[in-house]
Amino acid sequence: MIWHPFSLAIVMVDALALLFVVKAAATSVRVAADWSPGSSTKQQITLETAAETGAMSARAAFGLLIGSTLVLVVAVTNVFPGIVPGAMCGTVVLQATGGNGTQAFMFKLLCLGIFYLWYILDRLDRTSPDAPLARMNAKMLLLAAPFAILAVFATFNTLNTLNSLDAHTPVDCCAVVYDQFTGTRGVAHARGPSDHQLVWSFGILTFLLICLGSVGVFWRKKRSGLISGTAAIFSLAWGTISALFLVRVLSAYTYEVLHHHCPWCLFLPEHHYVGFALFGLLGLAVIQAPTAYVCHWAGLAHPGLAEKSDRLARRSLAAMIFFILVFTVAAAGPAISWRMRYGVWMS
Amino acid sequence: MRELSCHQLCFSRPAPGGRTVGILDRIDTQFTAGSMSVISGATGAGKSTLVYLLCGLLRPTGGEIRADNAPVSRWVSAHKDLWRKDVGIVFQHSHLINDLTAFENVILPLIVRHKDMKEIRSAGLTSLERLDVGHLAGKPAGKLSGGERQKVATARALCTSPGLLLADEPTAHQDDPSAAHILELFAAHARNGNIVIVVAHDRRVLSGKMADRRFRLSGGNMDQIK
Repeated sequence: MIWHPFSLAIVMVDALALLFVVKAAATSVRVAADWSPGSSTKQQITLETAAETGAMSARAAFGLLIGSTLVLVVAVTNVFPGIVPGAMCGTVVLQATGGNGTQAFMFKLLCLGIFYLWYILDRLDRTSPDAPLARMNAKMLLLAAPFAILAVFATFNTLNTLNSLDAHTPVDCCAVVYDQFTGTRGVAHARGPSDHQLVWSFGILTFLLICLGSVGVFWRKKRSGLISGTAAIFSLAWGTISALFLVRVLSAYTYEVLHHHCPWCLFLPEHHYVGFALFGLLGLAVIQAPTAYVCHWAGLAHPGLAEKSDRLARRSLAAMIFFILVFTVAAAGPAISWRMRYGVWMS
Repeated sequence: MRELSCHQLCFSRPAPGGRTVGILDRIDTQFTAGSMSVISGATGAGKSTLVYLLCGLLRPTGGEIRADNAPVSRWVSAHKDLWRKDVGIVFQHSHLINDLTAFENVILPLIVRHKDMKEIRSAGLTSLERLDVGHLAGKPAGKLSGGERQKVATARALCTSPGLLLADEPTAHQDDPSAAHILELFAAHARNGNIVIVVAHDRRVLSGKMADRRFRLSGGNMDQIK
């Protein structure tokens, strides 16, 4: 069967990214094992050159993985529903991939998160001419590489499954929603926390993160690692709660329909592709506190970088506050507008 | 820049058959501010390679180059680029941009230093006039003779008043008075507290009395002869 052009594009970009990842990982193994900054032997000088080209490969891989993930989201939400029988959004497309699609997204997000942290550390490393974080960066790349490989293979399986679908068997999109309610266990699982609990959890976590972020930005004393570390843990919880809050509570005001808890419909043109902005902001907000913590950690390991890493950590915490506020305003905007127009909440 | 030093500096190139050809072999030397050094050697001895290594355009395969005790040859590119802002180079083949005028070629290194345009204009013209090629300012570099191109390239290297000036055969296409004038400019630049390194096999450079120190490159080794 002929592959869809979007599938081909994703596979090609992923394959290219994989080549760069393998090249960067191979260099990282050597750097992690043999890096010896005090020596000026031929082996070390060759390694320094290799580390620089390895970093360039890793940056290329990071850029390509961002690109392929974006194209995959566009394809799953706006292109593949056209070729998967009965699909109206990404939910059925992902169900049709038999779990491969969800795995692909999970691995890609994990890989991008680690790559982002590596990218920040690499930028920090480049502020000093003697590359003091070379070994730490190599280890970070080695951590990202398996996820990148898994992401590429899961994506290939996803596209392969979609490509081999029987396009002539009709499927009812609503079956996906009804599938969740087979038996009381399924209902309980689909319900999860109540809307009320989600609103409160989101509110409390948002408030806590803004407070922690503000303390981290303005507090000039030590213990900033404790603050950014705590913020990192809270931001992961905030990310999960916010995604649930967005899908279970706030999306109703975008769809203007109750009980349509679908994250993928937010990416459709009829909803002005709002999912790209909202989930993008969510991702950016979540990654900032771990970035601040990693910077703090790098500063502790290399006192020469302490001042720069502290500045970067503060900037990350400030960015976290900014993205949280923008996300809150963007996500809650339709709900507030609805309340002002009709005087009631949708619940 | 107060001092530029080579520590066990080695450079080799890959050759067919998986072999490597050694060009420079464990060179240890230092160049101090306020002095002009001349390096000579037979054709193919590695003089130009040494210039490329000293200015950071090539990475050594062993050892290191230190500027004020910082291992600049091992720095990552971004930092090396910053350091190179204090380096002026006169290339053997001039490397001018043919479509730009002589004046535009000279002011290129000043533009990337984000200086005021008035200052750039003045420095560019002054530098051309010091080399006696002020009248060529508006002429495209592609239409200049070999000697004129070399003078423009020298003006370009001097106009930033670099802490380290490297010149590769700067008098090869010059008549005797012009060669003497260029060497006098280099010596004056060194007397102003800068490091000047001239690589040449031109007898006028080797027999001149401007150089404070002389070296000879042979068989990958560098020996001081003065």
